[in-house]
Amino acid sequence: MENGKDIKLEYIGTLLGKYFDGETTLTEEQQIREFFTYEEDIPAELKYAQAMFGHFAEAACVTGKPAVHPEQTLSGKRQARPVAPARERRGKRGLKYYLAGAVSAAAVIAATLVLTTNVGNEFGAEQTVYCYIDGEPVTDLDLAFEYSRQAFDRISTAVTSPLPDTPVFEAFGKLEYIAGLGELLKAL
Amino acid sequence: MENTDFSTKVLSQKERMYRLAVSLLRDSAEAEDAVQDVMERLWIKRGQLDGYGNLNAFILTSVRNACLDRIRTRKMRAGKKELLTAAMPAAEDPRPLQELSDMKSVAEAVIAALPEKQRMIIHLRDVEGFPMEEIAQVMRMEADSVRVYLSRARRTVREKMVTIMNYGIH
Repeated sequence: MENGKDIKLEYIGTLLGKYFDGETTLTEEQQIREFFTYEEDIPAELKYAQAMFGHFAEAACVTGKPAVHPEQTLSGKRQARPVAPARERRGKRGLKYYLAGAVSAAAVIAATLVLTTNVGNEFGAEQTVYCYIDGEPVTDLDLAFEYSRQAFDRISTAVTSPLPDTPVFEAFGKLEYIAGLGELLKAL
Repeated sequence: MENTDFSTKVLSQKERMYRLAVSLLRDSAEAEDAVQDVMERLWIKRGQLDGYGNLNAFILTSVRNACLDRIRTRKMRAGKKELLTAAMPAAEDPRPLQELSDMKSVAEAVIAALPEKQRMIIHLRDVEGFPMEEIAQVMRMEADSVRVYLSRARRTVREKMVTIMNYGIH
C-alpha cells in the first residue's frame, strides 16, 4: 500500500513529465519548485531536477547595482563627450585612391542609412533597422556605424595598394564604377 | 510618460532587465552597461512609452536586442570564438558529482551553453515566471513555438546534467 510520500513522488513524477514537455502551468511549476526546496529526501534519480530548480531559484535572486535614473547618466555623457581626433593628411600620390575609397565607403554608409527601414512591431512601436548582419536586424545606430566605419577603414587602407591586386576593387569593380557611386552619392 | 511613471513602470524593472542581460551576456559588468543603455533609450522615448500594449514585454525585448548587438560586437572583435562558461567542474575528475552546489553550477553552465532563444525562453519562464503568452510577445513567436523551444531547452539541460553528474565530463 502506497504511503503519502510515494503518492507525492508519483505526483511529482507526473508533473515532471509535463514539465519537460513544456505543458505545466505556473502553479504546477511552483509545486515542483516547493517539492525540491523543502523535501528532505530526494531520490537519486531526481537530483538533477533538484539542481536545476535550485539554480533557477538562485538566478531569480540575482540583483545588480541600484538603478540610476537615465537622466543623470545622459547628462554625464553630454558633458564628457570626447572630441574626435583630426584625420592624418595623406600624400598627394595617395589622394586619388583615398578619395575613391572615401566615396565608395560613404556610398555604402549612405545607402545603408537610406535603405534603413522602420519596422512596426506588435507593440505598435517603430524600431529602426539600420542594417542586417548575418540575417539579423541591427537596431543599434552606433553598432551600424561601427560596421560601416570598419568597412571604410578596410577600404581606405586597401586603396594604397596597386588597384588590380586589391580585393576591395574586385568587389566594387573598376574605378569607373566607384566614380559612378560617387555620382549616386551626390544624387542622394 | 511622466517622470514618476517612468520610475514606477520602467526603473522598477531594472533587476529583471539585469538578470536577463546577465543570462545572455554572462558578464555582470557588461549586463549593467547594457541595461543602462536601454534605460537611457527608454527615457529618451518616454513620450511614446504609454502607447505600448505590453510595456514589460517591450522593455525585455529592448534588453534582448541590446544584448544581441553586444554579442555581435564581441564576436566581430574576438573572432567566431565560442563563449566559454566558467562553472564546469574539472574535466579530469571522473567522480560523480555529489554536492548540490556543484550540481547547480553544472545546471548554470549547461543552460549558459544553450542556443540564445532557448536560453532566453528558459530564463523568462523558469527564472522570471512569465506566462507563455508574455514570453511569446517578448520573443515575437507563437505561444506553441515557445512551448516547443522550452521543452527542447529543458530536455537538453536534463540530458546533459544526467550525463555529467553520472559520468563526469566527456
